[in-house]
Amino acid sequence: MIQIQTDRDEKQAKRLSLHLAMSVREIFDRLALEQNRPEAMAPFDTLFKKFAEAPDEILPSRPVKKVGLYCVTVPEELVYAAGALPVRLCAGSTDAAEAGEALFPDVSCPLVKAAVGFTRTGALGFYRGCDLVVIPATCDWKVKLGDLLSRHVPVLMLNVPKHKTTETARLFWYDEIRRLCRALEKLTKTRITRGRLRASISLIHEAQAEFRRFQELRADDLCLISGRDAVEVANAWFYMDAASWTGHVRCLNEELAKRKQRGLGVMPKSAPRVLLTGSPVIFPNWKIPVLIEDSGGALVCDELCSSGRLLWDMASIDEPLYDDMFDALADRSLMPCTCPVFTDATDRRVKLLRMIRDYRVEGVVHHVLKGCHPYDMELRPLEAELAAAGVSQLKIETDYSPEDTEPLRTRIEAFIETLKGRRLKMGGAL
Amino acid sequence: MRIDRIRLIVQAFCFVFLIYGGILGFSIGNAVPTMACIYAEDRGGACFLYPFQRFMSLPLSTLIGATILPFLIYLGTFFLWGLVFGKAFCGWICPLGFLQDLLTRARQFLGIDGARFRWASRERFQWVKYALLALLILIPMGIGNSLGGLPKLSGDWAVPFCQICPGKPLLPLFSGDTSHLLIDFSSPVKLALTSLLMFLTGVFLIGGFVKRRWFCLYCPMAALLSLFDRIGFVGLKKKGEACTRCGNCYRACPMEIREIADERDRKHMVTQDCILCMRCVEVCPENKALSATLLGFPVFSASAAGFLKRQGCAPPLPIEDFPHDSNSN
Amino acid sequence: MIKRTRYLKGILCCLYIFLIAPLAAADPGYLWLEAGPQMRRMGGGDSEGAMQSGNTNSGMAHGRPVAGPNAPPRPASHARQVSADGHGASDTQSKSPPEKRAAMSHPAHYTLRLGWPAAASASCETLLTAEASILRPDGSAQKLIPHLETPEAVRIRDAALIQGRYVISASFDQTTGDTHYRLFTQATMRNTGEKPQRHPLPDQKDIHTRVPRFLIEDLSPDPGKNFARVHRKYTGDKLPVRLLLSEAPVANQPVTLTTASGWRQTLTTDEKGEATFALIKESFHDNEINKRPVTYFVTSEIRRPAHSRQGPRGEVLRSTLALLVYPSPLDWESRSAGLYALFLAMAAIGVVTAIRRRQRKRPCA
Repeated sequence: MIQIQTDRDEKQAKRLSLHLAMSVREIFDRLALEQNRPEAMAPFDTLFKKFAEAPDEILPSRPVKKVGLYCVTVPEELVYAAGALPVRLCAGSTDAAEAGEALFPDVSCPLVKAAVGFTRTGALGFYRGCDLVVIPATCDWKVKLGDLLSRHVPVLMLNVPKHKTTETARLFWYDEIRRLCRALEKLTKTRITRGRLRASISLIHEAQAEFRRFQELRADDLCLISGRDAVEVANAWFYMDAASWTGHVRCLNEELAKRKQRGLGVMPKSAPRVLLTGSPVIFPNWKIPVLIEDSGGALVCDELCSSGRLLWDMASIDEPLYDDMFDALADRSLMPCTCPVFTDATDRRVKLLRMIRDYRVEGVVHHVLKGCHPYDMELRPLEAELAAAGVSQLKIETDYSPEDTEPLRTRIEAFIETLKGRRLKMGGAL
Repeated sequence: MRIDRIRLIVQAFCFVFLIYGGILGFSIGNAVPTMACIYAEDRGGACFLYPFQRFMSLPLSTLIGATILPFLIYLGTFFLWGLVFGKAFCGWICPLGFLQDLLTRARQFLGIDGARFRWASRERFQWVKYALLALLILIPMGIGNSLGGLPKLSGDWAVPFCQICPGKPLLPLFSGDTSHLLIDFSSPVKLALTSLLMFLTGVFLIGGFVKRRWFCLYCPMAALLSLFDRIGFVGLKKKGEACTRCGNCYRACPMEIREIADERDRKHMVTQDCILCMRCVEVCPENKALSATLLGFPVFSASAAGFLKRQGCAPPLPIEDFPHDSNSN
Repeated sequence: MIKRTRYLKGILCCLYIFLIAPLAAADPGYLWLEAGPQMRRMGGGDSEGAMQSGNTNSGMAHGRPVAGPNAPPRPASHARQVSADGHGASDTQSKSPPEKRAAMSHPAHYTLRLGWPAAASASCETLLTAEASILRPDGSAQKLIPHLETPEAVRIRDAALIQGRYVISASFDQTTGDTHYRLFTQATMRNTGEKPQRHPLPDQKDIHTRVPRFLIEDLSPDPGKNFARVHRKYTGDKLPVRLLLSEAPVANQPVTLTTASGWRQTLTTDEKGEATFALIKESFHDNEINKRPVTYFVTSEIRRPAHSRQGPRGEVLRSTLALLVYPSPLDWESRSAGLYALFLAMAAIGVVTAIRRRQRKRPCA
């Protein structure tokens, strides 16, 4: 019986690897045709090509403990401070989602399904090879994810307070972060000292500095980089070592700055500027950014936990002491987080409005994964509020599967055309 | 340079001036709204509260009669000081504040974690400074007048606030005068006041060591200076739409003012406890979310680049270099 | 209380008129300057503080150190050796302000007294013939005309507008029978006020007509340039004095300290004309603590034959230094108790804080 099970799993794993490799190759075949891509994207391409060619070499080969993370609410600084390597395990593969589907109801979050699929089949080695998987109990799917994964990997659930404005929530979260710290210390047998904490915060600060510079460059009128490439850069953070990621992004930023001087954009100026918000967009599910840009829109910014929000919020060291740095990390991962699992939606609205102004956005695309209830819940009031502010919006409800690509393309094209028409009406030039 | 350090230098300079300025004959008067103790012998300026209490203890007929002009001049001086500098006195000039900041520095140097108030406790103590302010007006008035037909208070109640202000024993120490560290047994009132003073001095030293700016929460001068929060030349403005409510400012605020992080719709952020130390502006990573203003013009604004610089985000690390010692563990 | 003092005053007046005055006619006693009538700042000149009772305990009716609103508080550094000459400055404040007042200055305001130290004494109208002068910090000197301010008090007054040290001296001559009494006294005061302008000094001529001048000089060290402070003499302090006769020190001259309650100590001056007294402690306290100052006197007397053939055969030169002495605050203050209280408070709060923090930390540790 067990043998049969294993056989089936093995078969499934093989199939998954194969399908994953196929979809990755498909993406990169398309990419290869593209011209005018910044050269500094190469390291990121290399990384993602490994998903097809050498799944075992995706992660840096250093002999350190690997800590798998879900969500942005886990401060990676702590993992670095403990001397381990954080790996963000949120998954975007439709094939993996199919592999995990058996355990889930009909309408359920493809991200979690994919994560379970990868872990169950072991198609990607590091999903099972992590020494610890930290799952914050944010949305309903993550709450149950721990139970599903704990059969394969050691899991640490973090209790996330959902109403974060109260004092109890903050203190509770501070304690949770300390609990995580103890668990990490136990795992790596390294004491997280003040010095290590400070060094790791600086490390992330550097990454964040580059990330902010990258976002600033994206805000440029020229559209220096395509939205898909930006998503790629952000997704690479999941699997790369922070320092090397920072280095690669620094190169990319420099190249983009040079392109800016030369006036070399990747989209025509007539392309309406689009903001993408909602459920995460994770490799290899780059369907939406690709569709937007194929339809002639310029994806200039996004408010996604997988890219735009990923490294935005910075921890501030007030006094370089243990408590304060912990609290800083806890605060930075919880307080500014605009995930809709939290009760207060104003933060997200304010942030969106600010981005719309800063990036001169003409249209907003709401991306809702089927089964991603929190975003779905928040959508209606948010849509009403944005509409009141005069923002054109498009709501897309989809999942990872490529089946609905064509209907989506039609809708997105229509939306982009509307935006163009609107620009004409407002007296702008195409 | 970090504002924090500039502030410490300014504070040190003001401290030296206010405590030792008299040696060189400097004086900026007796109506300075900051805790520059009048008991310090070589002071270069003195706290507003001591003469204020003296004035209040004049019989009312004298106060609004013979001494009305000096009193008004004196209040006017205070008003000008307050208008120009406002709460900047607390954060940048006050010698007692400087002492507390030094204690905090000492604690940071020793690597001892600081304490924070629970929200409820902090709100519970909010009224203390107003109560002290009321008392430091009413008790002296009770010396010179019989309030509501009550018998006049004894002269031992003179300058009641100065008698319990930790500045009285501490600041003269800097000019070598230990004579205020004592308990006066001459009357029950004196005994009570001096014992309370010694107790509060102990609380000041320990509390100031454990918690940043611990005593400023109870300072009646802060209550007085709150008059200038809105109209003062120095201000602190918040741009709500740029705020992510990340809470950095709240955590960095030595006075633990929650409004600075939580309130998005408020523009003027100089609250009743604010000491205008600008720490919140320093730690704010969002461009122009917070800015310190002078006469309404921003002079120092929050920015991501500035934030990273102040956080010591060093020049780029060589790639593949971190964590440095992960292999050794 | 007030009534009783009035009775007492009446009795003393009778005593004076019937007993002492005839005696005093024979010997005028000593002349001294008492720091001006004290007015309680708070009370606006109520009966308690308005006038001295003429009692032996001629301290200021001035319960605690209160100064003007802008004046600095009393420095509690009573252990200082310096002090003493500032009492006039801090405590002299008149009810009627006829002269121009600088913001933080107090007028020089003194009562002339004639009689025996530590015994009943009164100002009498004959004192109007006394000669008084003031030497100001800018070097100017001026004669002061004694005037009868109240029926009982002959006073001298100067606005004392500039900052610095003032020397007020007075002299009085009387011939009784065949003895010529020359009485001298000197007082010093410090004043806050405006800084002196260094204009060319006026004529420094000695404006005193009565020579020789016999003076007791208070040699207490200069308390420094901080004129904002009140400097006082406290019991337990040392009092160095120097005897000067026509500006020359007088050696081997007995000089007597008389405390307020009549206790005497006589020293003899050394070759520099100097002697140092210890201001011994008086019984200031009865049932409750009394912080009022009392007057101590330093007196000296020279008897010698008259210079001139005609007139009185003998000449008596007497000089007085009257000074206010405050009871030492050490009597009711304890610094060690203060320090203990401070450290106890610190320890208690420290321990409580440490325990609370430990408790709070435990769950997440």
